Amino acid sequence: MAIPWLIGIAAVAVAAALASDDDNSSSSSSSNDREREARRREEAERERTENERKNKLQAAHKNFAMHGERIGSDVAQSLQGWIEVNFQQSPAFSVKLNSRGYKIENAVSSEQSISTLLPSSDLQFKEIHDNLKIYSDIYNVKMKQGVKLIEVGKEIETIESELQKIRQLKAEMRKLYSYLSTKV
Amino acid sequence: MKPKTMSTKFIQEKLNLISNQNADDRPTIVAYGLMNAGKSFLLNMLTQHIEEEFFKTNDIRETAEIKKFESEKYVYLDTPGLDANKADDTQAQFGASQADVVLFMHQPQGELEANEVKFLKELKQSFGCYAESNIILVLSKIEKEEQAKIDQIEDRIKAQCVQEIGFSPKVFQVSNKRYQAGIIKHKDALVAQSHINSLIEHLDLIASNSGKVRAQRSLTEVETLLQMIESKEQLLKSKRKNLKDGISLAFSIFNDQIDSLNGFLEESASKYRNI
Repeated sequence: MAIPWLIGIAAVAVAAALASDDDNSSSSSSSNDREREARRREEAERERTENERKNKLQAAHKNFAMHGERIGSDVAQSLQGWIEVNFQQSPAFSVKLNSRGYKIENAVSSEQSISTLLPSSDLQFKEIHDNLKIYSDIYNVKMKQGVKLIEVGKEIETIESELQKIRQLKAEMRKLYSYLSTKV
Repeated sequence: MKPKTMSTKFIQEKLNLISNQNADDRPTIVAYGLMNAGKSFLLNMLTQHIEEEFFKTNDIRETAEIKKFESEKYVYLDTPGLDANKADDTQAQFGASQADVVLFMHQPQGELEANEVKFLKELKQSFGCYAESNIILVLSKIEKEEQAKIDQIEDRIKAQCVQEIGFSPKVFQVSNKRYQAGIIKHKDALVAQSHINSLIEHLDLIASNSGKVRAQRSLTEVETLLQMIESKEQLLKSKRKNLKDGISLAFSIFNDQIDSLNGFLEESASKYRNI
């Protein structure tokens, strides 16, 4: 009479155990799904972030080039009459941004030609001279003296010539003065 | 002497003249005075051009340029009459600037006229401490007036020199006509009464200091020229500075733009690195 009861109990136990196993395997598969989902979402997020960054970089390049081009044009405008600017390429702005900063591509300015615009030896014009070189490097322009600069340059040249004569005359005068002083 | 222009060319010419003047040791005697005062006539007598004149004389204006006669001892210059015209005055001033001795001629019509006083003042300034010894007033044509009147005129012009000009030059009364007639006719009395020989003796006496006089006057001229040229130099340097400052100003916007450009490059690069 106990055995059927024991069998019954055993059966119940087995059934319970079986039921527990079933529960475990279904939660494990859900967990995998969740993980896969998470990875997928992360991947998508990375891709989205990367794309966003690429777009930002592209936009940065584009805006940089546009702005740089406009500055070059504005500078040429402000130099009108004083320096004649001829752009050698289009677009003229030859600076590119990179991960280290920026780089001027194909700088072809000639120190010699810039020194003919203004006397490079005159300290008063050093800043102008240096800035003309920068402009020339960045925009690959050919420059020559404008009408106003030519006119002023000629006036200064005439004055320099006159001052040279004066220096010579003063030297002559001092010599004559010394000589005459011995005769009085 | 005040030059009309300050060009370097003019100053160079003046300097050359001063150098050349001091290269010749012979004293330069210049006759100076109003038109028809007897300058050319006197110089003809002093240079022994008794019968045939070297320096042209006439009642009308003959001397329009400076005429020069060089003897072994002296160089003589005849100048245009002071009051003829402005160009002649310039010529006359130029001649006086070369003088070691000035014979300032005055006709005995009366006292010194205003323009004579003016020129004598300039001469006195030019000769400095040598004015009284080397500017000789010559009362010419004394044969035309009574001696008393001549003496009166001499006293008057001496007083004018003291009061209006501030110096007491030696005065000689001369008659060129008497001298000429005396030499031609061999009449010593006429020659003596002309006082030309007294003038010649006096010239020989003061000629010994002519080198110093010339050097002193030249020194004064060189000092004046130096001042003029330094003034011109300052003017030109100032003009040059203004022109250069003008260029700097014209490029100031350009410089600002390049500064902005540099700033733009740095800022853009920084933002790019942070993307």
